[in-house]
Order: sequence, then C-alpha cells, then structure tokens
Amino acid sequence: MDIQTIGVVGSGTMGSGIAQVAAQSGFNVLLYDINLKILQKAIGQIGHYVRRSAEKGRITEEEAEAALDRIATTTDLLDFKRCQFVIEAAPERIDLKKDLFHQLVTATPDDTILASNTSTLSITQIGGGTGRPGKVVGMHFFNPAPLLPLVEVVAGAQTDPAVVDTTFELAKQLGKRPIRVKDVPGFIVNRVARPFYLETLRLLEEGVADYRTLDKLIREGGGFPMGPFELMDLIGLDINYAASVSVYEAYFNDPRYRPSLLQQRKVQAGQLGRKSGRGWYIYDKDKSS
Amino acid sequence: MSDVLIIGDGTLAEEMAALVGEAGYESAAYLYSVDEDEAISGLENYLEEFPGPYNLIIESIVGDRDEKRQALKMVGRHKRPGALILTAAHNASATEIGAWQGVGAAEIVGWAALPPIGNVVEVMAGLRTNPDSLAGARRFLEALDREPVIINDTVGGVLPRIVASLVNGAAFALMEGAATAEDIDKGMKLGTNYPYGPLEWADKIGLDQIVGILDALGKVHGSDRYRVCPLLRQLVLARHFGERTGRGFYTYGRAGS
Repeated sequence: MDIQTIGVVGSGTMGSGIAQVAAQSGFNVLLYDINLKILQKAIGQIGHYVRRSAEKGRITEEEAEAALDRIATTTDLLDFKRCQFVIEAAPERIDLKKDLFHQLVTATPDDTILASNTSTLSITQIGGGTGRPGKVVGMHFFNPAPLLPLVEVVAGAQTDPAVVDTTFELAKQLGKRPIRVKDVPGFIVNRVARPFYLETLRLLEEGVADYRTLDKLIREGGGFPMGPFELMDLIGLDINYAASVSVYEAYFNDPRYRPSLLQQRKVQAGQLGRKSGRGWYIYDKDKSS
Repeated sequence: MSDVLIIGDGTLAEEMAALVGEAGYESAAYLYSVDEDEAISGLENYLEEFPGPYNLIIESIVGDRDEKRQALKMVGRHKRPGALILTAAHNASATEIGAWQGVGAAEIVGWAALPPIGNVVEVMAGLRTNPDSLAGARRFLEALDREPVIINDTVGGVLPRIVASLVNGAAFALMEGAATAEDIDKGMKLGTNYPYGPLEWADKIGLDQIVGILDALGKVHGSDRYRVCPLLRQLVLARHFGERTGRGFYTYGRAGS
C-alpha cells in the first residue's frame, strides 16, 4: 500500500507529536482539530520543536522547513478523503472515539486504514459498528512521540492481518521500533508495568519501608533507572492512578491489578507529582501549598 | 578451616558465594546442581565432609520451602553457638524461619536481593531476632562492599516481590498470546527502560526461584494477587529454570541436552 498522506485527528500533545514524526519522516500530514485555536497553537509548537532540532544541528534548516511545509491543517474531517492512513489521537473517551471513527469511515476511501493511538480503550470496541472493522487498528505511541521509539501495533478481534502488517511497516518508516500486540486491556506496556507501581504501593501501605527507601532499593538493588515513586511523580499520580483503575476494571476486578487507596488519597489531595509541585516528593513549596 | 558456609539453589546463591570469596573470607559453599533431585542428601554428605563449625551461614534456598526448612535445621548443627544465619527472605520471613523447629530465632536475619546483585542488599530482623545479630549482618554485608538497607520483616522483601510480580504478569500476557516473549521484553525495555525485559530477567534469576517467591507471597497474604501463571508453573515442572538449565522462556546454548 502506498501511503503519501497521513491524517492525524487531534492536535494535543500526542497528536502534534505524531504529526511532527510523520512530517519529518517525509509524509504529507493533514492535522485535524475541532478547535482552530488549539490547531494553531499545535502548529506553533511543532514549528518550535522542529526548528530547535535544526538549531542543535540534528537536521538541516532546509529539512526543518520542508518538514513543516508538509503539514496542513483542517477543522473539517471531510478533507481526510485524501488520506491513505489516519491516526486518531483524540481524548480517551469511547463515545468520542466511536463518533470520530464513524465520521472517518464516511470521509475516507474504503481502503484507508484508520488507526487509534488509544492507550486504554479496546480497538475491537472502537472498530465495532463502523462497518469497516477490518481497517481499524491500534497504533500506540509513547509520550513524547518524537523521542520515544516504541509503538504498540494492536490487532483488534476483527482487524485484517494485512492492515496490521502495513501499520507495522509504517511504524518502521516513522523511525520507530514497533511490537505486535493483541487487543488486551493496557496492551503490553501499561499492563505488564502495573505491578511495578501496585506492589510498591502495597509495600508502603504495609509499612515495610518508606517511599524513599523503596525507591532506593528498586533503583540501586534492581538497576531500574527510576524508583516507582519518582516515576509516578514524573508521570503524574492522577494519570498513573487512572491507568491502574482502567486496567483493573477491564480485567473484571482481578486482584492482581487492584489500585491503591493510598494513591487515590494523594490524587484527591491534589498531590499529583512534579506538575503540582508535590507528589510523593516535594518539588516546589510555593506550588504545593 | 572455613569461616562462612553458603548453601543455595540458584544463581543468587552462586553470586553470593562469589562475593564472599572476593571479600577474602574462607568459605565453603554447597550449591545445588540443576540435575540433582536429592539435594538434601547431597547437603548431608557435604556437611559430613566439611562439618564446620561455621561462624556465619548464608542460606539462599528459594525454590522449595520444605527443602529450605530441612536444610536450615541441618546446618544449624554446624555453626558455632551464637553464629549468625543470613536466610533468604524470598520465600519466608525471618520471623517465620525463626519459628521453625531446630532453627535458633535469635540468630536469624533475613536478606533479599536478585541477580545480578546490586549495590544494596535488603536486610530484615524477625520479631525474635537478637539486635546483635542484625548488627552482625550489617557488618558482614559492608565487608562484601554492599550497603545493607534495613526494612521491616516481610516475605519476598522488596525487589524480589516486585520483580516476581512483573514476571508473573508478563508470563500471563505470553500465555494469553497477547504478544511474543521477544516483543514483551522489547516493549518493556523500550517503553519503560527496565534494565531487562521481565522474561529474560526471569531466565537469569531462575523460574523456580520466581515461583518460589510467588507461592510464598500467595500463602502468606492469602491473596489471588500472587496466583502463579500456569505457563510459568509448567515450565518449572519441566525443569526449564532459565539460563541455568539451558531453557526457560527462551532457549540457550545448553538446550537439547
């Protein structure tokens, strides 16, 4: 399949990151958002990152400008008729995504592949009822998309294997290192990583050691680059907690994935990590007060 | 005559024996061979030949709690009065081991680490452990150039409990066909920067050791949370322990033998 133009739905952090990667890999990009102001802001951000790459000498100025010239924007999904491949990166709400995919099926030619960057929702559910479930696939990038190499290519229950293959090849053309994953809750990374947080939270709740000691043992004893509490502070306790709740519920309350009450209290207290000045650790006394 | 006796059933015990040797201690080590079914009678013969008495005993039998219990009872007769026993907390807390018949509670100190042994080693005192024993354990680990970090007594310690749970979750994902072993490990290394993929790490630690940790956690916590993945248990039953036996989640040079 010859992919020339990639449509990206949603111009938040993930959407604009994916648009940047695609443009810098030589594809034409059509970036959509419902809100023109957010779209303009995203274009400004992408321009900033790409030009900074040029300033740092990672790419030439000509390459930077050519990549930016390949990105067009729209607030009308009907313009996606010229896309051979679409990557949806809208907020993680199933009703919203189902609605977008219905619109995309109408707007695009029959053989256009419709990928979702969802990290928590089922590809099978997103594709079901679209009338084109064979063309619906998961393409899960990690934040920040321009920097992190991993992409989970997710096959829904009805996804055509050839579509999975094309998506896998596209991920490689985008300079990524893809893996193939079935449509299970949390896919691989978000699912398999859960005990790293949940068991450590349990150890804290049981009073085995304080959070600093637990981080130290895991970092220096195990060779992990960061301890779980430091990492939760970086990710955001709200985001990390929501991921645990999502996986737990999707597995019908399997006790292996039971979220932590202690973490829920931190979220309720607004101690969300670095972004709020305080999570497990204190970063900014002014912001956290 | 040897000062320190090391007994164990996995890579962790081998690494510990090497550390003790490098630190200049006169040591004796009885390390279970992977081909051996009757490890306990082997230990008995070894202790007849090298009876001690030892000034310090390090135990790391993680795969089988019955063997651990028998072995600790046996080596207890080969130590000097008051000599310390550093016992792997991976599959029993120091308090529980101290309550086992024939094992002196006052001299029991739990330790936990995983291969490759990092700069810190977890140390825990049982409820009946003598404070002098804990101090002795700290001094000994410092002599091995490792930082002892004291935690409260708990089965599985910190690192073994977390890594065994990660491995179990990855094994479930593999069993369910969510991805290949290679893709699971690749995903975790690229997506989370773990030092090893969970399945390749399990092969280094020993799948028997992982199951030993999980079974003990399940028993003590009474929770389905530590239910062992059936695929993982099958591999252990087949003695596919990982790198030590040439086969685990992956196949290594020795496989087919």
